[in-house]
Formats: sequence, C-alpha cells, structure tokens
Amino acid sequence: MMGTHKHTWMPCCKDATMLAEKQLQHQPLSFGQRMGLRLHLLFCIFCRRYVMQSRAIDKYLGDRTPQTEITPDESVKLQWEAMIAERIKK
Amino acid sequence: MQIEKPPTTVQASMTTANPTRWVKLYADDLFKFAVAKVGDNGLAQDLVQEAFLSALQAQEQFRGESSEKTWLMAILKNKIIDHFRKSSKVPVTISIEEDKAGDSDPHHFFFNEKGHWRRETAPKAWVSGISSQQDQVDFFTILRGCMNKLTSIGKRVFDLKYLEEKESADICKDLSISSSNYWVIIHRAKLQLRACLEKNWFSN
Repeated sequence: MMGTHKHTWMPCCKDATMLAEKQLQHQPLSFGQRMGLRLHLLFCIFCRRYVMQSRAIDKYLGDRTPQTEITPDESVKLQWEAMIAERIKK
Repeated sequence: MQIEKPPTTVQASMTTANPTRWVKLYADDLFKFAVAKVGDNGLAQDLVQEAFLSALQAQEQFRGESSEKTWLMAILKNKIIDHFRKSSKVPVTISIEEDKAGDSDPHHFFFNEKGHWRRETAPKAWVSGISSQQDQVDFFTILRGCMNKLTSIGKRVFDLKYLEEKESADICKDLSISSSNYWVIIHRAKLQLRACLEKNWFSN
C-alpha cells in the first residue's frame, strides 16, 4: 500500500488498521487482504483493540438513538404547529 | 448548504411547500434523526424547531426538486452541523507532538518506520465506559471536541459520512478526492479521533 517499510506476507499494523477500517465501512477486501488481516489480528493485541474501539466509535458517530422508539411530546408538536400557523398568518 | 444556492433552473410546474402539514408528517422523523445525531432530547427539539423556522423563511426556495421531507431534512442537517461548529470550544487535549504534527502525516506519530504501533501511542484497553445518562451527554461533548481537533478535510469527510450519511463514492465526488485518498483520510481521522477519545475519556 504505502510506507517505506518492506512488506511480508503479513500486513504491518499500519496496513492492518487501514484494511480493518475498509472492512468496517463495508469496502470489499481481496482474499489475500482478508487472510492477512485475520492473521495479523490473531497475533496483535493492539490492532485487535483498535478494531474493537474503531467499531465502537462508528456506532457513537452514526447512531445515538436509544433502543426505545422516541418521538417528541405531543405538547411540543402542538407548540410547533401553533408556531408555524402564526408565522404563516404574518 | 444546498438550499442556500439559487436554483439554476426554474421548473415550469412549481411545487410549493405546505407548512401546515409539516409537523404532522415529518416531526417524528426529523426529531428521531436529530436525537440520533446529538444524543440529547432537549437539544434535538430546539434544532428541529430552528429547522422549521428556517424552512418557513426559505419556503419560496422550495421547488419540489426533492421531496418536502428531503428538503426539511437537509435544513435540519445544516442546523446540526452549525450547532456542532458553535460548540467547538470543548476543552479536550491532544498531545503536544500530535498538535505540532498538524496537517503533516500523523501516521509517523502512531507507527514506527516498520509500520508497527509505537509503544506510547498504541491502543490501550479502555477502562471507563458510558453508563449513566449524564455520562452520555458528557461523552458526546468530548466526542465533538475531538472531532473539532481533526484536520479540516478529516472533519469534512466525517461530517458527510456520519451526519449526512452519504456513500463513500458520493463523498469522493463531492470533495473531488480519489478513492485511495478517501481511505487515507478516513484512516488518519479515525486514528486521531481514537487517540483523542482515549486520552480524554476512556483512560480515567
């Protein structure tokens, strides 16, 4: 990929985290990339942590909705409707 | 942002907005989206209200080029982005070396010349979680603070991706960046965001 270091059959942490990032975002990886990443994660606690934490961050960034269905209060909606009605009159 | 541009073509049959039915038809979805992005009901209510007000003022600009709902949603997204920009003064700290590195390649900050994690910046196990409601509010404040420490391109890509929920391909097109460049930006931004969250939240 990039970098000045020599590549072996197993990706380095820098490349492994990049591959993991692509996988997290549903970017398809080649068979070799998938195997390389899997092997790397088997041996590397830091990258395992990275993957776990990165996934958690994605969740925080994308969707913070609580499990329960949430709607605004009826009173708030009435307030909004009144507000809109008033502005239209003006 | 889209809505502030003057329309390039005026359609023959103009569709007009119908504000009297907005609350009934769209309030639930707008509110749910806002809560998902800001993690706070009260704030989400304020943002939806502001969005309705702006939409009322900009009614004439609605040309029916998109559905009324898409149009309102775009206004709401802008309100959310504005809110995040304004609340950027959150005191989060990043290390001096990282700060100095600025826009230069932060990969050197995290990885050595062999591409392995540097001992000092390798991911640590996260000790504190997000349990209470107050934790949740505090955490999202820190998260926003950390987002604002990203490089401008990193921030832009993250906003498009997580807030506007755009596809990677569309983000590349919008920002005229190549796909490989896109992944480098995402990777760097994620490395920085992760480190910032670890330092300011998950390690104490």
